[in-house]
Amino acid sequence: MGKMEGVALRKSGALLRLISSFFVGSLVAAACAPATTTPGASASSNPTSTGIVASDKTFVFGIGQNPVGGCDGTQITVTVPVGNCPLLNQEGLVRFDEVTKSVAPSLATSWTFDGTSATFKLRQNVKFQDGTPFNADAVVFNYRRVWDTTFAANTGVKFPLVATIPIASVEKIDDATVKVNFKTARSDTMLLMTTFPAFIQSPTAVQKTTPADYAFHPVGTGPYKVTSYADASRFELQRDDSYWGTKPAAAKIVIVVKQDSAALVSDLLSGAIDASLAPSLEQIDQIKAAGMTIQASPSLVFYGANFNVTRAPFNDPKIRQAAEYAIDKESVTALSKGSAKPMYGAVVDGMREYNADVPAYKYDPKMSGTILDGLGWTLPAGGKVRMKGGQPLHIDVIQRTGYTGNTTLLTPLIVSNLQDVGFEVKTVTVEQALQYTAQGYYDINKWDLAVGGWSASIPDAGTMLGNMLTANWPTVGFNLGHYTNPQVDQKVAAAGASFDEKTHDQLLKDAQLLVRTDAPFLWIFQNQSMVAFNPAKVAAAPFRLGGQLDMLRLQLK
Amino acid sequence: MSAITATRVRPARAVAVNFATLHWRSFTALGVIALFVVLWLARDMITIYGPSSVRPSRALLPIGSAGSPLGTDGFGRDLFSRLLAGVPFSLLFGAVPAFVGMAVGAAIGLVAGFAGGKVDRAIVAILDVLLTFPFILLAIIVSAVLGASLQNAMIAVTLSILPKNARLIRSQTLSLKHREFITASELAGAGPVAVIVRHLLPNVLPTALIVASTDVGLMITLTAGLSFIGLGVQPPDVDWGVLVADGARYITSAPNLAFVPSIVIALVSTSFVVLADNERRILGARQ
Amino acid sequence: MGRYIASRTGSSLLVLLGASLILFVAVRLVPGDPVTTQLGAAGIANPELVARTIASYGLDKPLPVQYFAWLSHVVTGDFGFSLVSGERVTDIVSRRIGPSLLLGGAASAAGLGLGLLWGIAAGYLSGSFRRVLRGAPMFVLVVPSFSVGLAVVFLFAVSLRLLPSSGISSPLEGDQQSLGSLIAHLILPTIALCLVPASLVARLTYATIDEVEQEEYVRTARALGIPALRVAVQHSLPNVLLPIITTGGLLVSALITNAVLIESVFSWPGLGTMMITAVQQRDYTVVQAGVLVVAVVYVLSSLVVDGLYLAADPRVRNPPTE
Repeated sequence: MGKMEGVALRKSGALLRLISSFFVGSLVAAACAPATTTPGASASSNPTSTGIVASDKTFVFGIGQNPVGGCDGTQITVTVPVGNCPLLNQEGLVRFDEVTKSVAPSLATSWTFDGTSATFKLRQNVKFQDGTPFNADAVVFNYRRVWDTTFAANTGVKFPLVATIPIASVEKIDDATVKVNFKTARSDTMLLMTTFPAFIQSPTAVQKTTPADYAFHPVGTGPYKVTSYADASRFELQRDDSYWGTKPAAAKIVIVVKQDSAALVSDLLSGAIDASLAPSLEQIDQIKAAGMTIQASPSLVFYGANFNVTRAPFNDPKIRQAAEYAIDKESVTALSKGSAKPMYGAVVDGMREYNADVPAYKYDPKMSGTILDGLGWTLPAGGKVRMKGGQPLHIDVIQRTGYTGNTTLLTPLIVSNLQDVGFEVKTVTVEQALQYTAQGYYDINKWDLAVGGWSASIPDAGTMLGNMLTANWPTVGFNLGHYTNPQVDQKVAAAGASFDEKTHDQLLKDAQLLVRTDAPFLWIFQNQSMVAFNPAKVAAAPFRLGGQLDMLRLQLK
Repeated sequence: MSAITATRVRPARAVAVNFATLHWRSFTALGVIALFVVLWLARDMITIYGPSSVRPSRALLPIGSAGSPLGTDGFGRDLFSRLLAGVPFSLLFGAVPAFVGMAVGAAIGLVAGFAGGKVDRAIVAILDVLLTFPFILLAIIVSAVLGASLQNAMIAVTLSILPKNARLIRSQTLSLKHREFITASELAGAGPVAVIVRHLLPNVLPTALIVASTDVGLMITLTAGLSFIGLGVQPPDVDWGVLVADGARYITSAPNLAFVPSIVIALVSTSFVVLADNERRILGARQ
Repeated sequence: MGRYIASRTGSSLLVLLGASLILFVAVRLVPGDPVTTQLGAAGIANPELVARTIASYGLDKPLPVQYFAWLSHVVTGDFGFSLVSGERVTDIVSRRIGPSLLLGGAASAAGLGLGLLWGIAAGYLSGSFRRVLRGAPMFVLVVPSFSVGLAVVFLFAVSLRLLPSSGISSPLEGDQQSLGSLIAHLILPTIALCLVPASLVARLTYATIDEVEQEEYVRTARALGIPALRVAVQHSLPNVLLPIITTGGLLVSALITNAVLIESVFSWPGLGTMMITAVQQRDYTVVQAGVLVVAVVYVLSSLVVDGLYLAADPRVRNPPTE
């Protein structure tokens, strides 16, 4: 399932677009095959606790973007990388275990799932941070608050990501059991239940104040209490020592927001902060020279450009392939100082369903030239632009304003590389705010290549391929170039309906091969989540695949 | 009333000498500006790499490198080439708002000063309102409304010097209004338009031109500021303000990237200001 | 004189009202609906959510109604909520106004002091000093202030490592910042920002000195042997104050413009950086609030300047009726 992120995101290396859509998702990781009971895993189910030692230290973390909309997980519009606060303060019934890469128990100790409904056994003796009990009533309240528009607590509140999980209704079976009914039968539903809209808030706290205020004073069951959030440029969380699960390392977390990444870097070097998210590329060498550690972790974010397949020249798949070969993807690693990795196909490597046998579009400008020559697009003597029948090989590339971090290299790289093989490139710029509107990318007459990025919100390949599906043309989804291939659609849909892992994976691998030949997207790089930290204070700083620093698995010195 | 030095009668021989000495500053300034224009015209011949040519293997080369005499940026793009690519934008940014701002401002000022009464008061009120917005705020509003782009930045800049120009020409018009030749022509039956165009305009023109010329230099600097904060020219188009902003990110590792364009902005702006200023002093025009 | 003050205040208020109207209309003219933009695809999938959000911001009512609603809130200090972060704009603004006023105040004071000294030196010294000092202001005014800021950072923060390069405080200090640390962070941006007002003041100062020096009574005093310094203090300096006060508005305007650029260079958490980010994020409520607050500050300072002018020059009690 893909998600799109609002345009409010700023200086971090990961600019995400999350789509709230109806892609046919795909399978959940192995541990949770449907129609069976899940891991009756033991009580210490929270983050794998090896190496995590609860200390009395404060961890100061610098990020570059103002957290949008407060700390109520159900109310946020953008999840990466600013979803930090809800992840520390609140929990859902299930969570995604980054180590085993599967759905694991959290506030629910076990569950059954048959596709259309799931019954959860709730964890006993858990209290919210305000002392009120966590029980079935609380779960019902929360799910109705988000999904039931007739419910009182639902009025006047924004729940932007509500459509991502197809919850139809929720019933209390008894104080420790809850049944959730879903609108559609999908194999990735349990994965979706680990995401933000399903986070549980304290009903008492929610009802005590207005939604706008609650967002800045949330009360969940998680290991950290929000002690100060009034100043969105700096907020503080305190570990709640009565937390039911494994206590994380930091006793206090301070999150500092500075839009200028250079300022964060100097804070890191001076010891004022312990870690900095997405350090500015230009300063990575300086950071390393000062003895700090730079760590790159895989994420689900990737960047490139959509081809407009409805008109010349990119209505010809061969010309699209020529463009793929023209891009020096291998250089992105160096150019981005390790915050980006070349991407050759539709699915990031690291997904279980990744098809390593798909031939990669490696940098080969000569091959581009050969293809274009073969199609009649030739370079006149001494000229730089290919001509055919007196017409130049002209394309319009559309981009938005406000690129930061490694996304600043997208348009320059594309334009420069394509010019090198003989395209005549004109750049069109739209305001960031207008990017996904009819005045921007949705006007397919304006462009031949649309620069952008995308991300799945849950780690499965069917979701990643969602960007290539016919059902996801604008304005519903982000298949901006109006690409369509019924075979691909069919394979992905079948994978989504399939509960057998082998079949599911094979279908997606086939889909990847088809998509490779069609080349509907100019794949350039997979984003790596970058963090720079002080090795004298931090032993390990793991990341979630979703792009947030996993402060629950932090290890301090 | 005006700060002019009194003109004294000089012997003829001294005049020739004074021409050169009086004008040497102007020649130098003109020379600098002309140099940039010529370099821009010849850019394809004097640069090896284009301004948008990304070459990862040539990233962050220092000043004096082969092929990139001023160094390269983080993507391997040649700074000299990018500087030259910025010439038309930066010069346009200076000249257009200065002269359009003067043309429109002068028109408003003439009308207000000549009409007097309610019309004048209304115009002055509107000008006062515009003046509550320091330049940068107008630019911010325009960018917020119309989006950040080259054209919108020029609109913002033009709007912000309008009031000052209008006021200036208005006060000149006011003092000219009651002079005899105006009264005479009115008595002779000339309509307001004729009076304005045939009598007032020629008298305010010298001031208008000098002020506008002085403004060119200031406009270049101001609009570079807009580009610096991202409200002007958008990438991949390049102007000097954008270059400084890009370079600021590398201030620790490659300070040339920020300081070379800064020096260029300063040099070109100063040249325009010196040129206008010098000519004003020589012509002895009222300010 | 009371009437004069009252009428100036009244006209200032009217002007501000007009400005707020322009501002309001301008922001509403923006293409691209902020709510849909902010909600992104969540909104596309959920038109009911969009409708509810628009209603909650009152964006569906006719413009005049919206304007008066907005105005009545603004007057009570309620600027609404940030479209991006959901925070109360009043909170954001009150957090940001302090640093801006601090920097502006420090730069004004420094600029005034430096400018006076500079102007006096340019007025009384001779030879090449005189030429350099007199030529410098023009140069300072055309060199971009952000470049000066960067140069100052490079020299003192990067090369010499004497002072911090950005921000108003170090993160760990939080609320308990020491005065010393605040001053350390304030020095570089103040230096960068004060040069423009300093050069304007300097020019006025030496021009006034030149004029005063030409006056009969001064030449007479000199001829009579009265020391130059006494003449300067008794006659030249008081006369300098007037032109400075008269152009006070211009000085504040130039200061505000350059303050936004300098705040950007130094990541100074003031109104300038707040507005720049808000423009880029299309956070209209914040842009409106920022522009309005700065306009109010500007108008207030013009009023103060007028008051000073009246107080300083006893000859002017009744303004000329034109």
